[in-house]
Amino acid sequence: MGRTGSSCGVSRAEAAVVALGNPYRGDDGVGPALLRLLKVTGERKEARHASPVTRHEIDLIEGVHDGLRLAEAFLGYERVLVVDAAPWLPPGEVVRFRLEELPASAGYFHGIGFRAALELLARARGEGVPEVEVLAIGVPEDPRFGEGLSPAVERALPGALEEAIRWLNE
Amino acid sequence: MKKIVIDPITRLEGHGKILLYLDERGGLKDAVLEIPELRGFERFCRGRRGEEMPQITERICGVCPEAHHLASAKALDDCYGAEVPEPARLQRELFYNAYIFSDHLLHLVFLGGPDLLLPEDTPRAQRNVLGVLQAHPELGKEVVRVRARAQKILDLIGGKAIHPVFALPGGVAKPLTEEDREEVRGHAQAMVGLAEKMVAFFHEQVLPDPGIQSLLLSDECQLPTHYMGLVDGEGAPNFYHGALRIVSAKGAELYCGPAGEALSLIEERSEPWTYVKFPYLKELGWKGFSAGEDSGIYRVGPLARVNVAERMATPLAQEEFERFFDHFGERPVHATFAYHWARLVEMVQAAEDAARLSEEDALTGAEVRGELGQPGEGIGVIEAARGTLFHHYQLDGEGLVERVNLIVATTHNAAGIGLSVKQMAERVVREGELDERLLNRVEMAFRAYDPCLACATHFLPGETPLVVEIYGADGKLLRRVAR
Repeated sequence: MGRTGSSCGVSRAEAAVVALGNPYRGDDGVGPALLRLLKVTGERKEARHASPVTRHEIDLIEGVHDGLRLAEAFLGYERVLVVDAAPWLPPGEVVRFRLEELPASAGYFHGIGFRAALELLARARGEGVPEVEVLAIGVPEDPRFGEGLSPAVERALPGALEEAIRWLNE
Repeated sequence: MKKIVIDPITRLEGHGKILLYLDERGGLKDAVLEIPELRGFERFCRGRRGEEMPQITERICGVCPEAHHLASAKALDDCYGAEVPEPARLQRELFYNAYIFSDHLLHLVFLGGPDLLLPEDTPRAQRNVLGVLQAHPELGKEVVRVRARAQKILDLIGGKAIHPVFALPGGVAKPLTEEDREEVRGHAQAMVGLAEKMVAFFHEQVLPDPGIQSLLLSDECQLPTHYMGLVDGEGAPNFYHGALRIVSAKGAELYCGPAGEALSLIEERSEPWTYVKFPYLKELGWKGFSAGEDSGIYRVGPLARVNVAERMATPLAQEEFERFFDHFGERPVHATFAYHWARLVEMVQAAEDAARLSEEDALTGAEVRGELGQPGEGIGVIEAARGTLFHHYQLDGEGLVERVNLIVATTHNAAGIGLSVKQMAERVVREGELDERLLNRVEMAFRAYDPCLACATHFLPGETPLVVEIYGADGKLLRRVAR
């Protein structure tokens, strides 16, 4: 999992933005695409003092993985924003909500469901569970292999970026 | 606040569900586990530089990127006719054993945990990973702690913990330092310590359970098939390289030779009612969804690997290997539930081997890239935690990809998983009725294989549910259950 401390603190930042999705599967990679935008925003010299990405200590993390490995990346932060593609939203629509609003099925097909994994790790390590919010960006269903975003999803990026920055400022 | 309605099934369409087909009398005719289809993958890869393949293929699967990364690098070694120098080979093997350990540990304790470590009558609300942690808090905590140490080896050697970047055609990106070795050695020793505890725990707390004994030994839980896996020169399982060995349901050797050549022994069967392809041994032919010595159906993964092995490569694993076969009193072992125990045997070997490799003088050698020849065709074969994984590439004269073919473990096991699900479910399916008992049994059957489903790579729309669909003899969907 690639971790970029945008303001290069040696110790872990208090917040992290975690992007999920496969950049080789078109719109499925909208999360990593937003992460790149956040990095650029943080690195722009003229924005250095104004940018919440640099003003706040945050880590930007990219990864696609099963629940437990993903949860391992979350622990130790106070707040986490997960950015992911959402085939159940109209393409380009952006919605932010709290993790608790996600439906959790009682069973699981493979792997550990994310919420269970997070709770498992927190209990096993005796740590607190971070406050997790989800930034979902609508994508067409069943993305094919290929790079780049479709126009509808590409157009959603500025709005999604604003929403991510709003989360940072809260 | 906007109301959010999320259908948990949406993301799963065509990405992992169990289909049960009934006959005209309402009995169970066939069972199939639908697995993800890599639509458009080959076309996407065509024209790309060969060196990109280890990074591209590891993103196919969110569950075992390490296996794809190294299978791809091995295919490229072969494409370029490159000899991998000893320090690079040792790095790759050490990395790979840490992956096998970590993956097997996760499965044994948490994914398979509800089946192995909790009584069968555990209420549904507690039949999950949190229930396992509650029932076995000390073990659970230590597993989380030591698994994190294995992950650190992956991080240190692989460059990135989730998507490794270290393996290149002909070797790896950089040498390890003595400082790195020191750190890896400490982690590997902790892995061996936990492996020993896991063995003791298994024999004291899991094996004596009558329910587990029944799943291991009763006739109705046996599924005689052929088995495939990589072995080293001494006949011990090797996850990273070796000869491919295939043994029949009666234990006779059907093939033992270069792993790449084994592709020519396999055919894939297509059925009109599913896009899932079912590989089988060409020489024996397709005899329908049936097990036994005459069928061409074979299985891969932990049970297959211990069945094709003559011995294990390390002392503690060898002891457990002997206890395993003594318990059953026969070879090969055919109980699907024995996949879990075989996983334990392998986990011990992976820990011991990681510790051994961390002591090798050549591990920190400076020579980590072999010379590359002219690009051409190449095959990389590796044992993913779930079974044999083939990457087959054809590069053109410029090193660009012309053709790609992958056969992943869960595809090899597709027919076997269907047969195991059928075996567990057929007594409880009548006229399309589904109950809690059936769902539990269906889960237990496929979970033993630890099937790899790309649907596990996402967070949304929440936890991945089990979906079972039942079709009547006329092909109409009778019932769909998700939980």
